[in-house]
Amino acid sequence: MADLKAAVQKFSQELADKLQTFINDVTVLEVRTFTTPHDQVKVLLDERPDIGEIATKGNVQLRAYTQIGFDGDATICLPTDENNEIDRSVWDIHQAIVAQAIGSRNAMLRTIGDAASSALGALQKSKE
Amino acid sequence: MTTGYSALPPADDPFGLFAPVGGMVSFAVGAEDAAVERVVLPARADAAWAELAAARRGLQQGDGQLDHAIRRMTQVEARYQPGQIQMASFAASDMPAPELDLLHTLETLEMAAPEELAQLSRAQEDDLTRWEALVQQAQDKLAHPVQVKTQLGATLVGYTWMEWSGDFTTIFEDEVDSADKVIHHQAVELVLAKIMARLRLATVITSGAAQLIVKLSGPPGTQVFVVPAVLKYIRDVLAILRAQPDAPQF
Repeated sequence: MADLKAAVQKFSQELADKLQTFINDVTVLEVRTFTTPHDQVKVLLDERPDIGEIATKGNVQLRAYTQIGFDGDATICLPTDENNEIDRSVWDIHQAIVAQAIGSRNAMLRTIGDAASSALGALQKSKE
Repeated sequence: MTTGYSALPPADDPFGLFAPVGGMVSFAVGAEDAAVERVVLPARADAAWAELAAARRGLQQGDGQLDHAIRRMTQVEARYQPGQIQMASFAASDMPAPELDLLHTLETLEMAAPEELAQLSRAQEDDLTRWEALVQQAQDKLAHPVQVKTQLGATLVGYTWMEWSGDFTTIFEDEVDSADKVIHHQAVELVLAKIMARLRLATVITSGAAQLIVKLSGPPGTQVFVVPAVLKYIRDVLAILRAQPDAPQF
């Protein structure tokens, strides 16, 4: 019980800090979609695969990439197949993931913003 | 595989947040404390879709119930006048049991009889543990990127790593068909919604307790009893709503 007030303050402070991190980090949104051959999929079964490392080793291939700046500027790399046609099987899901990333970022900002706002109130009161 | 969170019996879980959603999501913590959310669905696509739909309905329902609990909590905060609790009149009114219970706790704290506080402290131990577990989960989630691995049966179909800044990295197996990719996409969305719900619940309880603490007129030291009392209140309200899912909630 003695640590409860400290726990409330820590939780509230972390939410506030996280909101600040969001504000600093949301200027650019990046979405990467990779594919990997069936015989390489085992590398993903590790608890925490290092994407950079396995990409360097050729275990995965970057197939589509989207970068959206805060001002709306976008950089997009399209996946193509062996005929130099857009690979719809990857491109369609990549577009869906981009939409999801934008929606998720908005939802996270809203949730963390609301939480931080409430938590800051709690923090103030717990310090009174 | 180890579990990094305090385990609580699912039946006592106030929001279904510690328990798998529809039996599909489990939480595990890797060697470097990076939380991985594994979504294990049936190998058959139609069964997988049915589980995803059930999980989505469960989360939406839980979200609505939490909205309802927040509104009731706000009414309790407004109604609570320190030093003026008259349990007899409240009990005679049609005030629901969770509200009566919370106000009774606040009345006990105001009077602060040592033996009653000792009894309350023992009674609150489990709820305090629940709150600490909930806050720890929220802190763990905020500290690490969200990782989701979706399996259809024994087959890993997709892996997504999401930074809290919003960046997504996704890996699909070459031979996974488009429909299975969409299943992974939907699973990621569900996991994110679940994390947001958990954060919301932790905040609701913490800030709700703070609102009451600032009004509480009990002696120093009694304020620490308010957080588990509010958690119990929210848990009781949600339990009643879950038991009557078809009852009007708004």
